[in-house]
Amino acid sequence: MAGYLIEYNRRTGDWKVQEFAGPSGHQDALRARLAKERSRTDTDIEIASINGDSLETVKKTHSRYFEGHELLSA
Amino acid sequence: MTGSILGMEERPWTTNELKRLSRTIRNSEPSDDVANYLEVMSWYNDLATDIQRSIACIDWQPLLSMRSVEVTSRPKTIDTLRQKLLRYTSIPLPNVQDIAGIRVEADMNLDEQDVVVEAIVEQLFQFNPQVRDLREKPHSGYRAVHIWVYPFGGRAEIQVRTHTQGAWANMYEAAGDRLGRGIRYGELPVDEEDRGFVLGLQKLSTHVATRIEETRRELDKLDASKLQRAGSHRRQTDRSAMVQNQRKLRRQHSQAELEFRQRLDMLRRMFQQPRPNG
Repeated sequence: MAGYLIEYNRRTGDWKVQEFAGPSGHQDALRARLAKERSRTDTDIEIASINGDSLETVKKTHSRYFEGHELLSA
Repeated sequence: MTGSILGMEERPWTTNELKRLSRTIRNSEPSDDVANYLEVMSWYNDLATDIQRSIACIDWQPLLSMRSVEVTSRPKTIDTLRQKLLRYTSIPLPNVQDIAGIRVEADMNLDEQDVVVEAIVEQLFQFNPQVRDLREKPHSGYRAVHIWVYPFGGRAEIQVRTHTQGAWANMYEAAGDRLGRGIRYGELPVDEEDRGFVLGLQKLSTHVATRIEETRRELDKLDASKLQRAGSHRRQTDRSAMVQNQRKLRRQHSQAELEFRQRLDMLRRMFQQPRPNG
């Protein structure tokens, strides 16, 4: 199951997303989330991992994360 | 059960171990505790994903025709988990219902939503599903049907929403990011303008979204009854009354949908403006 790591700024609404494809994608996304949680310095940044068959599906059920502007991943 | 939950083992931590982890999460960032935070979240993530797969296996075609059903899952974020543990200090981590959360959304009317809920309950019957219908008695405006299940010594929450309910819920959560998550728990902002804003948002759900869904249900019923009676010789007066009723319902439905969309667009634009610091 694919997993999607979402970093969402609750203050500005800005967001970025990273896809983890493949059968263990949901586990990889969670591991990446937990690593980011540990290094997080800004508490306005929410870090979530959502599992779905595509990013489009995730954007429908969790549209709250995608209302603002997308930031390009580094 | 077809497409059943595969490979899950019973929750490997005792309640006391998880209670200790609850205290750690309440007080600070989780570290290597008795029950390791990473392993616990991984277990709940696998649980959520397996339930998601099981729901996605249901044959929706006889229930919803060709319409698609969106199913996603997630383990609770550390922020919302900590907030919940702090808000409800008597509830330890193993009793938090939605650490494993699954969302199911579709373009459906209220009757179809009931049928979707029944299908999920049947699919997961061995996990003692409990249905919580939040449509009749919304919680701070929130309308949906939740199914609580208790698999393998854990818990999970499945949220079943129409697209209208989902769009509203997501917008309300976005409002919570701006005005404080307390609005999800019945609290209102101190600022008068913000309070009015939140109450208006709640009304958008309890009045406008409800009107959209009720008129749609009536229209779908009329369509079904029209099909059933297509071959019968109904009196002209009956037919015209039905057509008039249908027109009236369509008008009410379109008006409510337009109002709903306009309000959400307005909020979306508002949320795209950065909030000042502090």
